[in-house]
Amino acid sequence: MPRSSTAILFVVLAAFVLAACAGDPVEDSPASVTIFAAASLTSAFEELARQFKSQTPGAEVLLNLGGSQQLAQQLAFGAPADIFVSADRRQLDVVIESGRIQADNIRLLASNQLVILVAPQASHLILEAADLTRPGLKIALAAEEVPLGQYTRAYLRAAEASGEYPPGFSDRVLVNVATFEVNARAVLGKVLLGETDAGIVYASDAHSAEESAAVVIPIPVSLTPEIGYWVATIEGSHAASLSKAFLDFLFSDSGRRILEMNGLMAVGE
Amino acid sequence: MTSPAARPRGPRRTSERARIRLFQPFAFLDSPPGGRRWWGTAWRALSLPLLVFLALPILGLILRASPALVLEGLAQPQVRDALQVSFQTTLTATALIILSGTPIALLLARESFRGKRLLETLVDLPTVLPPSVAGVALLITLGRRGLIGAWFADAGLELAFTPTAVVLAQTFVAAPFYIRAASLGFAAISREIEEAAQLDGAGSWELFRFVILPLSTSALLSGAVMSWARALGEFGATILFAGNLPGRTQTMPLAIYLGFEVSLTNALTLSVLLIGTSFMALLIVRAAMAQMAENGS
Repeated sequence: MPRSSTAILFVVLAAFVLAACAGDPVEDSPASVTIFAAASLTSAFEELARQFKSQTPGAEVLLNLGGSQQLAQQLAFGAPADIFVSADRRQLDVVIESGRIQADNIRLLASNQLVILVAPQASHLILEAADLTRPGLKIALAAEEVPLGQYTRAYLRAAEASGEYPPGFSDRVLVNVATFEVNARAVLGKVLLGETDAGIVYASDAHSAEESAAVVIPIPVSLTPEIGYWVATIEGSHAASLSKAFLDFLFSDSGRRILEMNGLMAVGE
Repeated sequence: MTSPAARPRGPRRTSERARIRLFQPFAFLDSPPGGRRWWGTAWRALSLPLLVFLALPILGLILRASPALVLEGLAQPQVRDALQVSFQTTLTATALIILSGTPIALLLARESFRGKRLLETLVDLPTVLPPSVAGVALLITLGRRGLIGAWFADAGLELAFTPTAVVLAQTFVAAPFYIRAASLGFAAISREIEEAAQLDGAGSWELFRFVILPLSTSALLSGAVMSWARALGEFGATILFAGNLPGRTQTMPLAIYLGFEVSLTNALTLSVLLIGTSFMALLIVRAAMAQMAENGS
């Protein structure tokens, strides 16, 4: 290779490296609000975002939907966001400890419930919770590591302790578990595809699956722990006024209606 | 039979040099012997940014996880289960890929036929497909309500959520790496050598066993190693098609993902374990390959 072209190549490469190092951070547009919300709120928040945008001209809503722990870790590591909606009160503490949420700046938004979802063509007849113990059944549950998994295990224990279910209920259900999924949506997917016969999900998830032929068996509220959704604003938000407008909308009558339409129970002021 | 002492001096000196290079990671920055020193140094300096970028995140992980925590992690049954599932399934998948991929590689390297380009593209497709797409595809094909899986299910064979499903998911995403490397290796063998062997009376099995296979060993091995490494890191297709059941279908990447849900420390520990074991395995295979190449020469 001739000297001159080598030198040019060198300069071009060096320029690339410098450009990559010196990229300007993009200014946040104040007309957009970034919301980190638990995956189980997906359908509710997509609808909320749509209606908020239509009634607030020029406003943009960016949704980051994921497991509450994941979102909390991302926030603790400085991910840019304005509002955090967690499916788990403890995950708020993770973010509070990191200093990105003030402890007195949190509100209970809504509560949820557990339900048993039965696949459209389940291999066994499943009419009530006790049928989950039938041998050979395939069940999808959420993994113990995620909130839904914790709630599910608490329910299984409470059900067994109540004495109204077959003896060894909890263990006999767990023996039938084919997979411990990473979130509620993943459990839902496995059941709707018919790959497992049943699964335990949030009422809000089952609600979004209503058009399919899946059958929903409610779980008594007395057997489940309190499942609350908490909302908090992130400190130093670039879009404070728009965040506040969104929160007002969230707690307004139309906001509550959207939450309820998506299988959640809105909490009063 | 030649004893090691009787081996010519040349190759041994190469291996000594190779061994020295292994323990001097920055030896490549030294100027090459002979002229054009300026150019040699610049060229080596240019390789630094990407190398640093590739190494830093790994270093960051290792620095955050203390050795005590890693040992503690290794003592947990769930971690040991995940390591065991990972190694069993990836080794099975690699064996499956070698057995069923070699004929495809031979076909692609040596035959020309109508639709060959289409076949090559098809073989490469899994490398660009997001693994979650691969997982859904496997589930709706081989799941018990799937295209073919429904027949299997009628025959009493359910694949989804079994270790077999883990192996199939890994095979699907990792096979292209082996097929590609193997077919390049086969294509590099000169026709003249093969024709000479055939003139000497070699049948097609002998040609393959005693000419093609020895001449492409290092290509096949490196392809197999690439496939194995890809299978070891497989996450998306596995969690969709094989689910997550500790001790049965939970591989290391799945355990790491769920570890992250519990605590960062947990995930870090598992990550360092995975990096450590796979790094050691890759290093051993490379050393073995270098040894084989040396013995072969």
